[in-house]
Amino acid sequence: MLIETEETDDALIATPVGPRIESHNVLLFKEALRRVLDQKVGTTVVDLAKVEFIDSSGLGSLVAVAKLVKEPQQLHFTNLSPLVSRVFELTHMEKILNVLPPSAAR
Amino acid sequence: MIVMSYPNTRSALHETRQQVAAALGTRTDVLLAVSEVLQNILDHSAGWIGVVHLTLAEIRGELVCKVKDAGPPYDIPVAPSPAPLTETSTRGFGWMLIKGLSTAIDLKRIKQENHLTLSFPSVDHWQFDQTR
Repeated sequence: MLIETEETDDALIATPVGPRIESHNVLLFKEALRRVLDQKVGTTVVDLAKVEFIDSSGLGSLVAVAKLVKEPQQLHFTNLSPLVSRVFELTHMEKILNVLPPSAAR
Repeated sequence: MIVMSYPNTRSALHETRQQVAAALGTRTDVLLAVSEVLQNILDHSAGWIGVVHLTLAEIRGELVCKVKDAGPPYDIPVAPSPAPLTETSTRGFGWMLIKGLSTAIDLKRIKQENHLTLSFPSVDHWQFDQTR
């Protein structure tokens, strides 16, 4: 899966372009996100605005990548679609993963 | 009403999921729960090869999904309590989503078959923003 990246003064913004993160593409997504994290020592913000659908394996990939992050590196998520937001809520991940308010990436 | 039967293989599941997605349109909540059920059947099939039967219908204002398979009995995990990220597993979210998205779950084991029924709110009570 393609992840577009953009450097700002404060962070690296990573935007997954595909609308779905699910079992059949999750390994590619996880590897792509891991490679994005390798580019930046500071803060990375994953902008999920274009992700309309995520399943449990997709969520697991976000958790797995977040667990790789070590200080001083930081990983945040923002712009969750209604379904993605619901998935975070139902699994309590909105309390575990660093979720920023919408459009905090720009 | 949608009635489908497919062999319990990864490629057939992918194709089935796409067909269900097309049929459900914006009901991504139902698609997600159904996808999790079907994925669980495949992941926990322990070598079972057979046919999974799926029915989706609107009954008395609810969307009802019935899934029947002859694989191993379901093993529904207890949802873990929230824990710090370092102690959080990357797996086990599927049933949390199924339970959270459905309004009722009925599971029976009859004559070596699993019979699962999930109910979902009618469209009028759907809370997601459908413009996305």
